[in-house]
Amino acid sequence: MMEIDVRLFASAREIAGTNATRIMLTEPATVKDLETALFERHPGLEALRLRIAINARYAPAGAQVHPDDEVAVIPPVGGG
Amino acid sequence: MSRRLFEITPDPISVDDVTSRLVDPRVGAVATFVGVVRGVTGERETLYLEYEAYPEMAVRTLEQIAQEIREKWTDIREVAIVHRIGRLDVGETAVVIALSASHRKETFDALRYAIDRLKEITPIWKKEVWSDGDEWKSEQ
Repeated sequence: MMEIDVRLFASAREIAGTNATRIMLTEPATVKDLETALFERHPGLEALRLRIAINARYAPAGAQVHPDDEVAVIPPVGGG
Repeated sequence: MSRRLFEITPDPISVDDVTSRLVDPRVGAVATFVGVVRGVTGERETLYLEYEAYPEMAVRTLEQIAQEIREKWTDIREVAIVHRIGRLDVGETAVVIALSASHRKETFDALRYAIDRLKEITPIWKKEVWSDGDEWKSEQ
């Protein structure tokens, strides 16, 4: 098992009630696996159209998650 | 004076500050876009906006946008984008985009691309706060 600390921002942070959450995953794990575990932990997040970032880059559902990766939940953005 | 071309800052930002970061002497044109906190959206009066960012990734996406612009419009020399975060009152500047080119022609299309792309990929969020509630806003 590996522990992944996931950063949460904006609406995702408010729904989860925290700016970071620890997710347990069995290696090897993909972004899709991470999302599944994340939604089990914080069901309210599933309704958001989330993107996942790994090491500050958007990651597709099939990308691998590694133990030392910086993982973040990116709800719909709205700068400007 | 700062030469950082891409920045997320809690401090007030000005057009002069951002344009001064462009120093390429070959330029003949500098174009700027300034995003300002709007006081009324639809029927509702906004009290203030609360901006939040994932700063490291936001700066990376701003660098990416500048790279994309230089690939699409070869006349564009430099791009600077500064976005403010934290609480902003109505009328305050949220974002300044400045870009330089040897001629004016490509600057306007490139500016539009920059702000559209920022709203699409840059991890910055804004919450509108009214007298009777609030909401995270996104055009996505």
